Amino acid sequence: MSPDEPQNPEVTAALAAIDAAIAGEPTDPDHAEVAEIALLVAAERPAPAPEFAAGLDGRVERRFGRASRDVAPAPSERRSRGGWWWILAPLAGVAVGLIALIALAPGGGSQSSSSSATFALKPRASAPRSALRSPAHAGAQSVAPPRAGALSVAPPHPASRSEAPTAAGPGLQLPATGRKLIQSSQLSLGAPSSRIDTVAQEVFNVVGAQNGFVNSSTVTATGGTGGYARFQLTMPSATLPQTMTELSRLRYATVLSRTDKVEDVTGQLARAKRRHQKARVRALERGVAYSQIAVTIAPYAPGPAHGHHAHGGGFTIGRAARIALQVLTVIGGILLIAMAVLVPAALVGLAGGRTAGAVRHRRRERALDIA
Amino acid sequence: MASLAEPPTHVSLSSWERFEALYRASRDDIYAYVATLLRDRAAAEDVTSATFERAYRKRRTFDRRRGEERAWLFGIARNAALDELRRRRRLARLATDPVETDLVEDDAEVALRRTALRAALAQLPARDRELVALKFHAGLTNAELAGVLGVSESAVGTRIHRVVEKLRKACNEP
Repeated sequence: MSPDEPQNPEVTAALAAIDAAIAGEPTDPDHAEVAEIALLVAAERPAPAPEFAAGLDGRVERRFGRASRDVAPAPSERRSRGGWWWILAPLAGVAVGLIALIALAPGGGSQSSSSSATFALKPRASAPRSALRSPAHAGAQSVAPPRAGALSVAPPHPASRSEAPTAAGPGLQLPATGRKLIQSSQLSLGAPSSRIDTVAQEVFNVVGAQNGFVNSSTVTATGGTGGYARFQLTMPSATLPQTMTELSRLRYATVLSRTDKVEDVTGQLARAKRRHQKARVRALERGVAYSQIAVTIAPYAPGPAHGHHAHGGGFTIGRAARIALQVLTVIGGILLIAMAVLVPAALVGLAGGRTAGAVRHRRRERALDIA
Repeated sequence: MASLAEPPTHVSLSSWERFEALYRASRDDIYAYVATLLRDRAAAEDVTSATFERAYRKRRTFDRRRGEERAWLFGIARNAALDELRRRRRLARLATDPVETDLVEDDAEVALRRTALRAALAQLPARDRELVALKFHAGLTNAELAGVLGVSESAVGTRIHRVVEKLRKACNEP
């Protein structure tokens, strides 16, 4: 008979007699012998030694305090105390570390190459006097250079140096050493598509305020997602730092990149003078007196940090909501990545734990069979 | 066969109070079960201590939906005892015979039957001995036994009947 099959009445009656005998109740005379065996077996019950019982009572009274500290728990007990977090916690730490590494690594973030754009772009209190007005806002239009013979940007000279496009503050502050220097700069600005023409107008305003010239300009304002502007400016070298500062702080614009170049032409100028190369001397002197600035304005969707500055810095509910949404999006992304790491790890850990438990159970049962 | 009061089941008891009541109700039963299974008094004491210490540590993980506290405790004891068996890979004899300390011989016939029974118990396979320990020495009901061993109550009854029959035949053999 299989153990799981229903018991026959004889077995049921014998079991009832056993239970009755153990409980000290009268038993069926037909099963008296079985009941006697049950009593004899029960009488063989080992009893703990009084010393051991007293010692264990004391340990329980002390809540196993000393023993718990002295005896290191088995791994299975550590798991039972802290669940599976002793496995998952290090994995979670590694996952968070990886996420932080990816987020903070140079080039890893989408905004890392334009750190200069995070500089504050404070709105100007008032527009400066403008000598040049912007062209019509729609379509492309070129403004002819007001003076013929404007200097072009000199090709890189062995003695020239380039500055990293990170500074959004004042331009190069060169020491007054009496050297003859030709300076040029390239400034790449980003602005919302709808603000391209506004920013272009501000460029014109700055040029006018600093007594500079617009050699050429192209402003394309589509009113939609497109739009682009490009300027070639000639500015008095003395005003170059101030001009660059103001161009870097245009309202609605974000500095994406900036390059400053300086070429020392002291030797070239001296040689040209010695050789009486008047045209060359004039060209060099003009290059020293006026600096070239190339400005481009491209559509740019500011991120949370940029947007805050680029829109004037005032607090609005809408802006706060946008920032909150972006923060939540980032948090959600991080959680998603963390889940992508932790869920498979947890599943593997769970499967491993169950397998280990099954193996442990089998070994225990086998120990019983061997014994 | 609990020698102490049954554990109170009042819901307002703290986990410590419930553990303490469980300890008081089960200490001797756990020892009797483990000693019968291991047949080594010293090992039985160690395993009994370990059982209650583990139970104390894990008392907050006890889930009543998965069974009664007593069955849960015997499950811990069983795992600890089997781990001890596995570790030692040998059978040890009881240092002392508990029967000698607990019982008074009535007459020669009873003494003979008791001797025959002890011999039969010593010959039982470990699985049957465990069943005897849980049923007759620890005082578990068939339902509790089923929970501890992970089998059906019907299977437990059948196995108990077989073991008792085996012992009865051994006692009646000349």
